[in-house]
Amino acid sequence: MNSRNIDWKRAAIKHARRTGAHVTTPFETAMPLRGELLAKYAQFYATFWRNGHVPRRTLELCRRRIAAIHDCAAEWSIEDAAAALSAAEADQVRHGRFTTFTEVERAALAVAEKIPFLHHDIDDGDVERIRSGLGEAGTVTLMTALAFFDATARLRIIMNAPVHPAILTDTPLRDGELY
Amino acid sequence: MSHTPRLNGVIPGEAPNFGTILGHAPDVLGRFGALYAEFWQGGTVPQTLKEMTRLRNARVTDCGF
Repeated sequence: MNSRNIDWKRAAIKHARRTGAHVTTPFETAMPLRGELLAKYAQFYATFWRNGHVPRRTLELCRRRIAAIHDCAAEWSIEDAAAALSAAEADQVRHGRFTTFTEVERAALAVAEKIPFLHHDIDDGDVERIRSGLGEAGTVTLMTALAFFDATARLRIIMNAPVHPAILTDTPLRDGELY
Repeated sequence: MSHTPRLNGVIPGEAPNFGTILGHAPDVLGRFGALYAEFWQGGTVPQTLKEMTRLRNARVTDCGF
């Protein structure tokens, strides 16, 4: 572990305690120096789950697949209670086995598979399969979500965010806290 | 790699762009705009440094757009 990261995190926590900033989860602990950025990140990130254009289960499958590709334990250990993936399903996602999922879920997972390191390999057919299943608004919501699942996993890794397992009722928030 | 936009924009008769494509989900577009503006307008990192990292990121990810 990079000692500069440890010093930075300690400084952030110290700053939050001194200023009374709201800090409870590991993700929030990493960002108290920029409260406005954290708030807008949470508002934007929550949109994927709240606008109703993509089934929560599809979002959960893709979020966890991207976490698995990045080997990001902090992101992987967060679960959406509403999606309720079984242990067997989670194991399939971890290992990239998608045959038991629905057609739309497989189409979404096919793009999720390429987002982290193979984004130039996403082709017209990949996007069309999603559009035919979710429509334009669903396609925009899913594609944006996938890009930010990737960004969030990278951010957790860069920040050395600790693993903090949680089962959330309103992913990615619980009681207003961003996990 | 295809350079044809994979979705139409929400403004009829106008060539699609990043904003009009995201416009299919107005809440996503609106909150993305608010977040992205915060990146650029808030904080203490100099604008020049942000722009350099943005351009470098575009280069590394091979995004000519």
